[in-house]
Amino acid sequence: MDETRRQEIDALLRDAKSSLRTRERFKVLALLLPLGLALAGLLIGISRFTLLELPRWSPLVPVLAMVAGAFAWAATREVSHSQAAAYLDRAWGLDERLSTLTQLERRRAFTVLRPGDDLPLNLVAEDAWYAARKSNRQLPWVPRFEVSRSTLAGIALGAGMLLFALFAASPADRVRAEIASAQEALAAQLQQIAALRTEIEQLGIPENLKNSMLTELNNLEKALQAAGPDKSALRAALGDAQSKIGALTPERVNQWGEIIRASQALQEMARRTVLWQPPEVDDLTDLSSGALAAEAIGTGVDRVSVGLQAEMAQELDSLSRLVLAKSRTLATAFEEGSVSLYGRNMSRASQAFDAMAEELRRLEKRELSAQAVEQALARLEDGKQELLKDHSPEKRAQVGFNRGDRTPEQAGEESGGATSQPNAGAEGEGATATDGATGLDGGRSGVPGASAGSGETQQGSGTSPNTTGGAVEGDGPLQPVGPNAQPGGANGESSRGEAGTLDAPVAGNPGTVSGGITRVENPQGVGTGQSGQAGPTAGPNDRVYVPQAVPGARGSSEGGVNSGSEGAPAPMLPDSASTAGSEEEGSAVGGKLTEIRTPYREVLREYAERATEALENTFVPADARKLVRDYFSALGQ
Amino acid sequence: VTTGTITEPVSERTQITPDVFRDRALRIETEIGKVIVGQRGLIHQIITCLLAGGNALLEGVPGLGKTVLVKTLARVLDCEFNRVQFTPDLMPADIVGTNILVEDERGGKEFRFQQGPIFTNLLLADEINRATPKTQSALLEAMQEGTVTVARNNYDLPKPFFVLATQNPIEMEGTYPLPEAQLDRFLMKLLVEFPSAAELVAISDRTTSGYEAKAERVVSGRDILEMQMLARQTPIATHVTTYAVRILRATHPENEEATDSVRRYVRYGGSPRGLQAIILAAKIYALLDGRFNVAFRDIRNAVLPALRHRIILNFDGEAEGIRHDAVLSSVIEQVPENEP
Repeated sequence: MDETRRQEIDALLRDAKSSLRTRERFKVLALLLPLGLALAGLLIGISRFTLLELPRWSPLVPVLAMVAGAFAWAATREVSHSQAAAYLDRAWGLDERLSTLTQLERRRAFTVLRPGDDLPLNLVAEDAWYAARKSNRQLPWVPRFEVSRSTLAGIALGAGMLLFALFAASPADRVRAEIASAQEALAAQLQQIAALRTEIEQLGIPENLKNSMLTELNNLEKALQAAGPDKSALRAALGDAQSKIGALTPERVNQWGEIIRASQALQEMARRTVLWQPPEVDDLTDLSSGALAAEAIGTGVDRVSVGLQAEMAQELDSLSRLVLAKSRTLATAFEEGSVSLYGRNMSRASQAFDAMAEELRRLEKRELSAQAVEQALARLEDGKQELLKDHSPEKRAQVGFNRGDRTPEQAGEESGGATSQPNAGAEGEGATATDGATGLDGGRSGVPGASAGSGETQQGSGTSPNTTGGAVEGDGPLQPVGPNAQPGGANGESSRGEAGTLDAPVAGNPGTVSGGITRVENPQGVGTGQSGQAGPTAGPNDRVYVPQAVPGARGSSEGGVNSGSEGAPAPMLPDSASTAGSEEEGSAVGGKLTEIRTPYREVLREYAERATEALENTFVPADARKLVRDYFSALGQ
Repeated sequence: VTTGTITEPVSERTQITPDVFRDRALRIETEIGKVIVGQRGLIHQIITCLLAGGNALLEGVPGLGKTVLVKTLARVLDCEFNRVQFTPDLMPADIVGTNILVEDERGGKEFRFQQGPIFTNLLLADEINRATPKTQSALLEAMQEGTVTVARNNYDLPKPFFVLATQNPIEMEGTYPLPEAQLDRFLMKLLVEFPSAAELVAISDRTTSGYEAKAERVVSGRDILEMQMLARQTPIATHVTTYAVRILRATHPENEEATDSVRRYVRYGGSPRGLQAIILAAKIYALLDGRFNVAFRDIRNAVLPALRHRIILNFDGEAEGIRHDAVLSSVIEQVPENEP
């Protein structure tokens, strides 16, 4: 066989070797692929079914490793001449000519029957070359190879594992969503802390208090960041910060009622006596205005008529007793002024009024500090309440309260499967079952008739302030009247029991509130009123603490009938004017007359403290908290 | 694949080339075909068996032209031909010959060996299964050894020596079926198929019209010997041989490579002599195909005729009427070709 033909055959064999190496790569890859797929599925499963965070590209690693391994293995594998020749024989149908030739060349494969015979190498080579040249055609890039059933089963299993890991529902998804929610809440808290810090820095409170609060906020920030996405840890950190910031000053805003009233009385006194007018400045506080009024009186007290001086002396004496418990200095100044006026010692009276002004300014700083602390505590409480929320849609649908900043329609939509009606809130029907103890009211959005339309039926006696300053006496079961008043259609048992228990410290005392708070004779704190029709916030899961609307506000109520017929918004805060004449008897609890008479000032503090305690220890929506706080603050004023 | 022209002699010991081999074989087939209508496959197999130096057992009903075929073959090969009709009373000496007492020219007497009909190039042992085992054994021993021993004297049989034995598969009464050990001595067992309708018409025309087809002598006995020598020198790759080995092993039910049908129906598989038969037949097939190497398909083609009389069915196989060819076909189907 000549050299040219020999080289042609060698070239064919080289091509065949290359193809066989490619085939080997794919054969090994077919063997390794199930393992790669399974490992990829395992990694995806780990990242999906556990909270372990793996890089998103990690599942590609085993697959790529298998591919690389297959290529590396094929690169190191030696393909013999015989294998290449056999492959060509099969690919081109050469009837084993080339493989016989290669074996004859190696003097191995000659027939065992005549091992001593001369090898007919030349004959076979010529025949093989001729046949190969006739059949020469392009070899496939990847020669066909058989994949065993076990390999196919392995690939299917690996692919199945991968698909399962990819698409199976994972309980960790919810946990991850919760973590994301917590992280979001954490970011929001940090943002709020930063905003609060800015606000505190701008407040005119004592530097030491300011620094202490800022330090606590810094500590809180660190604690929140250290707590990570654990909501309970975040709440604990917020609660801890609350207690620490609350400890910075023992004073609270609701403790300044007497001082503020005294300040307001001074302003009224100045207007009456020296024709003083408070300056038109928005940022003046009551105490600051009171201080200005005291200074004005002090300056012009000698020009006041004798009769007015006597009235002033009497009033100052009264104010002295009013503020005695809060500020002895101010009480002394009031008393000094009263005595001076009685004694017609104008110089001394002027000094007394100056002392009042000085003390009021000092107290103003303390009030500002208290307000700052209160504000900080409220913000932190808001943060805690925010953390308690579940942001998932299902959970939201279960939240059964109507947020004041939402429209009734929104509330109805969020209530999911609750028996809400799109305009239920607009009709003023109680969002939540209302009872006499808790005073729940879903109509806080200010829709006319919201309060009266709750279908509330109260048993017990109570006096409510109204806009006209007169008390409303309840007597016997109250019946809703007015166009928007709808008797409760739903049974209020369930919400009544929960809410009543929740608010027992406030509402459970036998009718001791008059004038500002509906007095209820209900020792267990269990309400007895009927609920309104199922409203947009009829969800049963979340206990909602919403201040009760004052029955009969702006309306007339006679004989225990709470009239909301005017459709006016039920005031959530008592009018200041109403407090003066509100101390009248409530008369009926289920027809039973009571003789209890208690000035609301005597119980206001206790009630306010209990409400604050309830706010701090109980799950109450942030906006509702603010409402309760404002309510008692307003009562204090 | 169109093969090239191979003109060189294979070795000094053989003066013919594969092309000459193929040419002679084709001429033999052509000449036989002049007389025998159809039966191309059978003729091909008989020539294969002849060139492989083996003997063939033809199985077929009477009247299919077996005797005519062998006679024609003898005529084409220009070889001596004898026919022995086996009967139950046929004795070994009737086949191999015997010593007879003769008187010489000087009046002396001596025993002289009188050759039997086996001393020929082509022997047709008609209905071999009708003779007694003793007679059968005498013939088969001579077939295997190529010699005849009578009265302590050995007598070589002429070369080439080719026995074509026939047996009737349907008349079993009064027959002596060949034992497996004796069957193993036949290189191939060939099945004489019933002619097709067209072939029957042709047979009718030829044999009833006064037309007498004549086959010419195209090769001699020496030519056959040369072809036999060349056939044995045909190279075969190791992995092809291994393929044949795996097929043979797959016919053994106890072997792990055995197929399901073998495990179920076969009591004993092919012998090493069967492997030799496969390889030799495959070599002839390769040469007849114009190649000077054995391919996988040559092995596959050789399996049925070489092994069908060498595997022994078990009771289930016999009871269910399983054909040997069906078992072997499943083996061929399920044993994959070897990778080198």
